[in-house]
Amino acid sequence: MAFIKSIEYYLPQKELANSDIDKIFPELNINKVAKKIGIEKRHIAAEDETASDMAFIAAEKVLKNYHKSKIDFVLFCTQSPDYHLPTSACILQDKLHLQNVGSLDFNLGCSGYIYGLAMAKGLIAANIANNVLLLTGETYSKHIHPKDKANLSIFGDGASATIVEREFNNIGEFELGTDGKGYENLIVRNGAFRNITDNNPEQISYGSDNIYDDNHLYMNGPEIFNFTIEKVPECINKTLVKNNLMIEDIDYFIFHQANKYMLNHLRMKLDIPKSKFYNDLNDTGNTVSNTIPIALKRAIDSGDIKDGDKVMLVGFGVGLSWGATVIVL
Amino acid sequence: MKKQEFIDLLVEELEIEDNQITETTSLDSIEEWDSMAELVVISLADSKFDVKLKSKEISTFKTIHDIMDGIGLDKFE
Repeated sequence: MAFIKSIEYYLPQKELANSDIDKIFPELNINKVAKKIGIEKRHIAAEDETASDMAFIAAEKVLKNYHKSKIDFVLFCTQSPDYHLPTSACILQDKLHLQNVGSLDFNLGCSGYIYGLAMAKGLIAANIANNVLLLTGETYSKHIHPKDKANLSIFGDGASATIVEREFNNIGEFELGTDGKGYENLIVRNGAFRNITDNNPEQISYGSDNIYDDNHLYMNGPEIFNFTIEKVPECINKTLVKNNLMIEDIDYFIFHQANKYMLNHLRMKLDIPKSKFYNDLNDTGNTVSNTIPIALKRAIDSGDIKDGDKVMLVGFGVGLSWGATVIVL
Repeated sequence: MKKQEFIDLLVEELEIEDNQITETTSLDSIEEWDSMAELVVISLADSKFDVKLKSKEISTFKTIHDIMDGIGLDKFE
């Protein structure tokens, strides 16, 4: 009933390589950190380039060989919208010249692609839409304090576009979950309506001499790690049960590409062989809601995923929020 | 697990160059003890002992012994 037709992604031109970080923070020993987190460079949006600008480029790529008129819904996952209002998806509808479509943004991060697939499948199943354009776009670089070396080393910007079609039925059952108790572990505190932007925010030091303030992103990495250790295995087991599958039945696993160290820990904990597990954020960094579609596209293009393979997709992070499903390629 | 085995694991995982690390070594004196080290300790506690260490608890650790105490001294020989 719902089918992932095609996927494209876009990475901004500007790059932040480890050698650049080494010049700014020589005391960090980025090469040692990089070996653990598995990142060589990240792509960073230009000052005047927004998440929706990048999602537009990804969308144009995916719509190039597709009858635009068939799209009847646009979902855009971002935590870096153009404006407080209107929803960026409306601007994208106009720029993409899409007619007679419903459009909305949804605010999720690392679990966002899974939620987007779930909503696309739901819209199609409920006869609200036939062909959904699912977009993700993120510019965490704009949320990160310039002296926050930990987060600067981890995150990169990017966008993706996926067409979910009514034909066939290759998106399986979903397991989705939320633990709002952990909301403070990954947060930008100021700039919305709970706390407006502070013109003179206190500069706060955390971890190994990282600086941030409440106008910028804060991440408690160790607690996010604890959350994934606890929730991801549970989420995977529930997803397998809902899809009547054993873990051995899954041909390939794509988790949100948070960092190599964390992914490796999860892989070993779950006893998943390396050959069935995507673990590569070397030239992108953690691109939040974009990591899963980028990985999916790359694994299909490289032949790591073949026709008929059962692929488990698992997203987890900011919210705290998680979700998983199984798709058949 | 033997205490020395745990220390060896820590030294290996954290790539500590100082070879004089003992149970009483202060974490502040270890150059490689950084925020990445916290993830390594969480990972070791989970994979080797099935113990969950909270970030707040780790921040109170002063020595290698405190890490073992946090994991549970009964788990060490």
